[in-house]
Amino acid sequence: MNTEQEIQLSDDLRHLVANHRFQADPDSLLQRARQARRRGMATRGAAGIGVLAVAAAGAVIGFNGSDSGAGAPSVQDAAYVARQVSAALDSDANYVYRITDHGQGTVWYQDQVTMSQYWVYGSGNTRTEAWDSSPVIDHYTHLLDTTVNYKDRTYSTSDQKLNGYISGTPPKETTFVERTKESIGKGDDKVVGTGDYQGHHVIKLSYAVDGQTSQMWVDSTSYQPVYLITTDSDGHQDTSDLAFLPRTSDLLHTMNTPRIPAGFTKVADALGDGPGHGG
Amino acid sequence: MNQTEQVQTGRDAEFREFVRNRGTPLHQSAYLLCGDWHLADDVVQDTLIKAYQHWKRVRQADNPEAYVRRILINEVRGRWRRRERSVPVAEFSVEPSVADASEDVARRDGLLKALVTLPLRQRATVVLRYLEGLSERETAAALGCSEGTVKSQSSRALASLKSFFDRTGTRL
Repeated sequence: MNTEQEIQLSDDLRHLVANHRFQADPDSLLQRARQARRRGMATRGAAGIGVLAVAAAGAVIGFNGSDSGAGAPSVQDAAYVARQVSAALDSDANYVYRITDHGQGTVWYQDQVTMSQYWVYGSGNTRTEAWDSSPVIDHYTHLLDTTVNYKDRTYSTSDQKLNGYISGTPPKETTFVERTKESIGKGDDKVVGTGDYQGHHVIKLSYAVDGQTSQMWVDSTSYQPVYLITTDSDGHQDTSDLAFLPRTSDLLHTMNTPRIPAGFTKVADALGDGPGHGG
Repeated sequence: MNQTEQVQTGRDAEFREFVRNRGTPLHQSAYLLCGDWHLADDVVQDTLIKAYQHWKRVRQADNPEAYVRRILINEVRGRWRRRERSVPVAEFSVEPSVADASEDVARRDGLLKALVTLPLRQRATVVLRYLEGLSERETAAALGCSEGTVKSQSSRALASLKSFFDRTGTRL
C-alpha cells in the first residue's frame, strides 16, 4: 500500500464508524460496575476462609441465577422476561430490523419507522433483491415494489393503490416488532434455558402461536431478540438471526433506492418461483 | 462523608467522565474489531466494568486510555475464543452483498468484511494505527508488544487488505 492508499484506508475506517455514539448511560454502567466489583470482592474474600468459601461462592452463584454471568436477571421468570422484551422493543423505534433467515438464505430489512422493506435472496451474481416502499405514501395506502433478479437479469415493478385516507403515521400492526410483542404476550411463555450466542449471553424464551412453536433467544442484558427458532406442526424448523440496526443514511439509502443494473429486462414478475416476501 | 466514601465518590466521578469522553472511541474501535455493533456494545460495557474494578491501576497507568484499550482488546480476544467454541447452530456464513449503491459504500462494506477476516492482532493494529491514529510506539503499548511487532503486523495486515481488494477487483 502506498501513502495515498493508507490515507484512503484511514478515511474509510472513520467513515464506517462515523455518526455512531456509545449510548450506554454512565450511571447505569456505574451501577453494574459497582455490583461486579462487590461480587468480585466477595468471591475473593470468601476464597481465603476455607470452608466458608464454598458457602459464599454458592451464595454468589445463587444470587446471580445459576451460571448465567453478568447482566442476567436474578429471577428468570417467563412473564418478567416477556415484559422486558416488549419494553426493549418499545424503547426505541428508531431502528431497522434485520432478520437473516438461515434456511431460505434471505436477509430481510424492515424500517420500524416507515415500514419500508428491503430483501436479498441468495448472494452474489445469482441474488434477487426487492424493495417495498412504505405502505403509506402521502396518507394513502400505496405500495411500490421493485424486484431485481440478477440470475435471470430481469426486473419487475408493481404499484398497488387502495382507497382510504390515513391520518398520522403508518399503522404498525404488521411490523416485526409488533408481531413479536403479540406472540410473546399471550401468557404461555416459558424460559427453557440460558446460553451464549454470538457474543450475547441469552435467555431462551419458548412460546406457541397458531400451531407453531418458537424459541426466541434474547440478550440477557438488553432483552433484544438475537435469534429465533420456529418449528411447524410437521417438525420443519427455521432459524434466523435478529438484529437492530441504527437507521444510518447509508442503510436507508440502500433500503429505499431500487437499483436496476443497465441491460436488465423488465418482466411481469422477476421474483418468479422464488420465496415470497411480505413480512 | 468518611474517607472510604470520599474515595468511592472520586472514583465514580472519574469513571463517569471517562465513559463520557472515551466511550464512543472505544465503541468505534470495538465495532471494527468485532464487525457487529451489538457485540461492540457488550464488549465496551464489559471492558468499562472491568476497568472500574481495577480503577486504581487505570489511574496509575502512564496512559490510562491505553490501559483500558488493552482490556478492550483482551475482551474481544476472549469473546472470539468463546464464540468459536459456543456458536450452537449453523451460522450464516456468507451474508449477501447489500451495498451496490455506490463505489464508496461497496468499498467500505468490503473493507469491513476483509478486516474481520484478519487475525485479531493485525486487525487491532490497523484499528489503532488507522482509525485512532496512534503512533507505532503507542500501538505497541496498547497491544503489549514491541514496536517491531507492530511494524510487521501492520505490514502483513495492509498486504492482506490490498490482496483482498485486488482479488475482488475493488479499487482502494
